[in-house]
Amino acid sequence: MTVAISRRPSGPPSQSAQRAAAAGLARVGIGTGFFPYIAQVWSRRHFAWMLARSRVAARSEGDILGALWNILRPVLTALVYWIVFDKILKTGKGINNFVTYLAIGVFMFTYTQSSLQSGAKAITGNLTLVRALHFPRAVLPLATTLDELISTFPVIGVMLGLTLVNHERPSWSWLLLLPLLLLQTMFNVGLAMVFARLTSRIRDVSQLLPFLIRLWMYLSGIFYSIENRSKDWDLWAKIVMEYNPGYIIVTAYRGALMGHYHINTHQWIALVAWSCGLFVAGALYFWRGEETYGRG
Amino acid sequence: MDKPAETPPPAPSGEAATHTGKPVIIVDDLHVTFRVLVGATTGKPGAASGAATATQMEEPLNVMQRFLRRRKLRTRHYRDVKAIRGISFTVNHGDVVGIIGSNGSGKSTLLRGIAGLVPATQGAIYANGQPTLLGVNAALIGDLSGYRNITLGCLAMGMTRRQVETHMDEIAQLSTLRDPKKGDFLELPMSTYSSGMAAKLRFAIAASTMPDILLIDEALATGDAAFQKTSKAKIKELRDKAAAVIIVSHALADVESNCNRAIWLEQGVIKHDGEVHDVLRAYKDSVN
Repeated sequence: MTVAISRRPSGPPSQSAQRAAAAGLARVGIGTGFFPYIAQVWSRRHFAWMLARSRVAARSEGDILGALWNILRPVLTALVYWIVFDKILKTGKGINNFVTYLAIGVFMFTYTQSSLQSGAKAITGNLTLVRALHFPRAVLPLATTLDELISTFPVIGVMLGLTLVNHERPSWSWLLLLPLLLLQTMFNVGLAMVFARLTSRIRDVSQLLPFLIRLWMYLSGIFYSIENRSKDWDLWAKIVMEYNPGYIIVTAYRGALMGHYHINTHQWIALVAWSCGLFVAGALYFWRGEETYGRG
Repeated sequence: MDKPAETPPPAPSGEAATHTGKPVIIVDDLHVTFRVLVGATTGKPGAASGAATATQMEEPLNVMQRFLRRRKLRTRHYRDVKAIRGISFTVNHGDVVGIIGSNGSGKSTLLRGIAGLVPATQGAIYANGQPTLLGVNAALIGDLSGYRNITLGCLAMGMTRRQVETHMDEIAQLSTLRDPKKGDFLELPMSTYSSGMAAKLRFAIAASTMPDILLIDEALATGDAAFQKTSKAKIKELRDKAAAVIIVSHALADVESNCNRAIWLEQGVIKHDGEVHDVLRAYKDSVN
């Protein structure tokens, strides 16, 4: 259920509007400018943080293994991919240290993937909260992404352990993990904001999302190497594949953690552009819909 | 959205505004229209669309076809529900307004519109500051304890962490869920609460802000006798501090004892707006 909105034709202010102005009254339910909005979101940061933490706690509430599932889930996913792609399809041929390559790809892509999934439900899944309380709605997609970030920390621990076990040496480039995580988080927040608004407007998007995500994962070189295969591709296909943000993100992590891989300047530029660009664009897009969220 | 032809001209609001205070809320020709999707599950059984769907669905469809078909069917069945159809009135400083009317007459929608939680389809609402809706449906998170829900609710309303700490005791007390004899229910997750207990907690959280303009939706009649006593006292306290109060209630006695003015809504328009006893008498006469 949505509310139909028709814009009032811009004419002279009505008699009531004049009386309201005379009494110093402000119009209710009209959004603020972009920067005041950002300030409002910032003032609710504790709310976002607590919402995120409570979601993490609630997620595995009824399970016997509890929070351990946050680690088991990606490990099992990686195990499935390892069986299918390394042992059966052998897509790992010619890739140095394929197990680590695969694990980094799966673990770090999962962060973006689950941010997208839960971000898409940020408004539609919290309608009761939205209809009852006043707060800048951008807090919701922010909280879902924070929640995914919190659950990614133990996964990163497992990933580093696995990298060490597989004979990678720790080096200074491991410190790149922090800026990379920041950039990826900005990217994820932007993505969550875009899809939160899309889904709140057209519910059907959430039906389409699993297919989009699966396609994106297959295109992002998680369990095969794009470089090794792109030699005989058309130029446009090469560009689309190699500047796809999913691929760039996992490649950057591999470059930081694995001795055999490096991040080149093009990739750094593309990564920063995707992250900052989507972060700003997502925030703008979400803010423009502020008056329409779930207020049915 | 065109203004429906049958809407009478807005009732003059001056008649009840006996207070000389300046206006704090102006509702100007407010319309709220809900756009509802009427599809296979929501339409009348056996309606034309339903029959068409059944025959078309015989051949197996892949996901994409189903997706497209569903979109097509659904967009064909948007239906407009006009909840509020042209309401105008002014609330002055010091007014306590009761809104009465049958179920589905648009009372709660009007209140949520004034609170800014439902956007106006047409028309506008002006207010002195942000009106606060005191409802019993401030839904919180069931997996969390009562205490954590209090923190969450207060943070959502824009309090700082320090303010939450200072309000915590007051809210716990108001909720009457912390009892030296029965134990502290606020330590349990909210999903274990009865609906009455949850309503108490929500009310206590919502009432912890001291709003200038207070909108109360059916909150006067929740909970057991002990809670009724504390909540009535709290509402009186809020009312004394607020610039204006609007109360939606089916309890006519509550409206009579609390309000100086009443608005009777029927089918999204104002049927009567005036001094509380006059409006209540007219309303009671129409029901009997």
